[in-house]
Amino acid sequence: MPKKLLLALAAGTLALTLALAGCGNQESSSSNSSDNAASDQPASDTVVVYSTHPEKMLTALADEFTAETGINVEFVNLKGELADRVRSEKANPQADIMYGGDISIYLQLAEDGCFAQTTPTWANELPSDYKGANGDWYATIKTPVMMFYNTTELDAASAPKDWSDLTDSAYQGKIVARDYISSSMRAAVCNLIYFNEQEGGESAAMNYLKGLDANIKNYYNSGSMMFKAIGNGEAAIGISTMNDIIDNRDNNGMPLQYINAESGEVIVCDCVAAINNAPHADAAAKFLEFVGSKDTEAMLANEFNRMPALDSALTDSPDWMKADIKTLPANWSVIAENQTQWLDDWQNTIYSDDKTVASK
Amino acid sequence: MNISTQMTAKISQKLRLIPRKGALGLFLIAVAFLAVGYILYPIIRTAILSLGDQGAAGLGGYLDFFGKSVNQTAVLNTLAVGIMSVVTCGIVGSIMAIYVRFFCRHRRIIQILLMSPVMIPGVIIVVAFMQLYGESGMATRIIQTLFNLEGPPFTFGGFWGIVFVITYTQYVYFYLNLYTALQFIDKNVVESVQSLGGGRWAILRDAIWPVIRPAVITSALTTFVSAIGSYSAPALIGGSYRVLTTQIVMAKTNFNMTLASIEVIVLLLMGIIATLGLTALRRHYEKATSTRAVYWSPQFSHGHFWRGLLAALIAIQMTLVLLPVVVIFYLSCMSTSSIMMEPFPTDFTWENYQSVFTNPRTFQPLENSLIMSAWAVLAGLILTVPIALMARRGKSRSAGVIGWMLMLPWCMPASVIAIDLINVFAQPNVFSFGRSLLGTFEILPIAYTIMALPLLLSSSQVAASGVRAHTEDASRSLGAGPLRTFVFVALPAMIGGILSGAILVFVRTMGEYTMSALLYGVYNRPISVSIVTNMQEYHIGVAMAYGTLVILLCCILLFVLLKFDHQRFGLEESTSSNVEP
Repeated sequence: MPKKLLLALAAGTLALTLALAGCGNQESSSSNSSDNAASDQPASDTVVVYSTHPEKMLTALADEFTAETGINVEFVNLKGELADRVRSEKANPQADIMYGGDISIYLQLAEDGCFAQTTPTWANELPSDYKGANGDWYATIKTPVMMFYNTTELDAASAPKDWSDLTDSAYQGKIVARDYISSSMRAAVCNLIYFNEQEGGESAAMNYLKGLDANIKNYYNSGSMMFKAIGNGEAAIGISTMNDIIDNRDNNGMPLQYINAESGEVIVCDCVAAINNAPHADAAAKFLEFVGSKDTEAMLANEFNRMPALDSALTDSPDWMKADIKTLPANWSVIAENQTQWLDDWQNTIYSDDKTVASK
Repeated sequence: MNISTQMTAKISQKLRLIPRKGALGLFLIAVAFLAVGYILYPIIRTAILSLGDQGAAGLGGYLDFFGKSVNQTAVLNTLAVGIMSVVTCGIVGSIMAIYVRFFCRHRRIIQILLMSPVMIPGVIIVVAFMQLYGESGMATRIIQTLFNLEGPPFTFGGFWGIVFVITYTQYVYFYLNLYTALQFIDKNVVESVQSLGGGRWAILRDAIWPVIRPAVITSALTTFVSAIGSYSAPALIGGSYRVLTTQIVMAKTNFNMTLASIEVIVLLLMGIIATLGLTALRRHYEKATSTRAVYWSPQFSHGHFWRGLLAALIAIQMTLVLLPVVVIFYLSCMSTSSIMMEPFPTDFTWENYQSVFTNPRTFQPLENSLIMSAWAVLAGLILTVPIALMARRGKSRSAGVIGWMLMLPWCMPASVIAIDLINVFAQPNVFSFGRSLLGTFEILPIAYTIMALPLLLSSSQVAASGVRAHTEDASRSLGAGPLRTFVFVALPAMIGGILSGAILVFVRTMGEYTMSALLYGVYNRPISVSIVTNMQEYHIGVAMAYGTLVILLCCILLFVLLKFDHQRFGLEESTSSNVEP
């Protein structure tokens, strides 16, 4: 019997090798970076970045980093899947850097032991709530999530002034938003729940969400379709990250105006971390140093409208970023703790069942 | 690790079933090893995960799950979408099949065009649909203007929106299976029904229906399972119409893996129950087709009304099928700003194509997808064709058991396959020879292969039934070995059927997005992900240009490949009807 078992395993090996031989070959030929298993070499010549940021921005970062260090950057933008992927790969990480995603996600993953400790030179300049207690993650970009409107449909006077206005029945059926898959929408919802709960307790928060849901015409799975609906005049008001609003206004010529909410903006801090047990730990440390540095943050501010997390980078940033931006009160550790429950409430209790993308 | 010991026991149990025939036996053992490792074991792992950390007590999680009205809604909605999609795909697919089989003159072109909905990711198709039928869609506006309506005449979304998109992307299963089955209607039976005074309905009931019934059941099954597993349609246009696939992704983004696993298992059980029921039904009705049949080619000269009606239906359907493809081509030549703001975009530009061709990151995904799709087809064929042949002769009980395992992915929606693989291969594992596969190049071709197995096995089984036993016996008695007989006798007879399955798998893999998004990494970014990324970053025009390229590329490939395929597709006008097989 053991002999037969051995035979079976041998045969399995053979078949698998046959079936996968080509894939294996492909791996080395398709990735023009020299090698997947670069850990044999003294210094890594590649760094693998999992990100939520747009491809153009990642390309610009990669080019600059390669020019500076000679290290090749392989990146993928996993969007909403990012955190889940890093967690799934924990036992055997394929990436060196996690770049993008808000503080609450980093807090949760840090607790799971997904990140390695790093000590970038700019770390001391960050306020303590902008970095992990053990140096396992750092904020790099402040991303405001804002209300905005189509200026051909609304004027400044009739547009909402604050988050609380979104529940006003005057805006019924005029608002569109992203759905559960969007990490910025998730962060906004959590922040709004936190804020309303601070103001008026749990019931106030739930009432706010219900009122908002009643006014929302559609929840979109894709940002493009949400902006298109606003561009076509199907709805007048949306909720999105500031850089997406600016991107569509400037690059796609859409008549958009963002709203500085009276109670403050939802400021999502996009963070970065080196992944624990990463294949190219040395290169990861270099990339982290690079991506959170003053110069890089200023470059992102000027070319991609990304607000720097480092105050020193603000001096070289566009003027509008220097204006005092009011932040909607948030405690991201409290949000991280309650996030799962809150999102479940939002998705499974509040979301109305009859709401569909193009109807109502 | 008592799972591993269970597995070992299973493998050794298999061993006893395997015939002592050297190479063939080894092959069976190898396939069994892979089937257990990559299909059965991941399912078991997910089932264990769904119990949380509590073992059997975790079954309480299922009680909680079904106790919540939100989950009941999701399960019922999923069922409703599945059943309604079977009905609509059945209607659309069979009308198309009848038309192309009996009336069509330019079959090759039509065949290729009819397959175009599976070549590109659902997201792109949905954008085209929104451009046509959305609140400010072109078709919507035209109807609104024509009939002088106040508001949009219909709303596109929710349940019917989902069913509409699923019908569009999945009617092809009904179409292909029925198209094949219609070929085998026996002229003698039709004539005897007629001679007994039977009218049209009698012919339909007694001569046609029994022949196409197995194909109808198989297609209903495929459609049902792929409909309940469909993610793109409900996610993009379903709004808050809940189905299990969207709930799974929601649970995952909320870091609730136990809930996600429960939902996966519920979805899987729905698929398995449907599969078992419909397979039993098919067995019950399966009948041996006469070997000397003369195939029926109806004369419709006296039926102008029916012919006219059919032609009208076809014209409508062809328009519905081709319109979104035309819209994709059209939008690919429009600036994104015009797409974003005008119901009828007019700002013509070549810029989208320019940015596709000048972006250095364009061609790697295209190459990746071509290679991975080819590998999925090839690996799938290596695994399924011999199994189909062995199981057919009924000699090998173990081939039958293995065949059953290879069919399992049939009841596994794409997201289930992906999540199963993540659960198992995130850690080094004996089935991957001590490596972790997540994030590597291999994981996607493996996932694609798993998804391809049932389709390839069933098309190989259909093809294998066309290989005549006596020619094989002759070959053997003339001194050829089994391999030689396989290569020179069986394979040539099967090639047509194999090819048609392979083509469908290939184009479907090129457009696959659900698994790709969950499993891709730095080294294997597929074209579908690339297209969707462009969408997400507000380069809709560029995404459309990509989509156009993929459609054109697939069409050219199909055109070349279909030249070889005479059997299942019946593309050679002269051989399809009225000729002995």
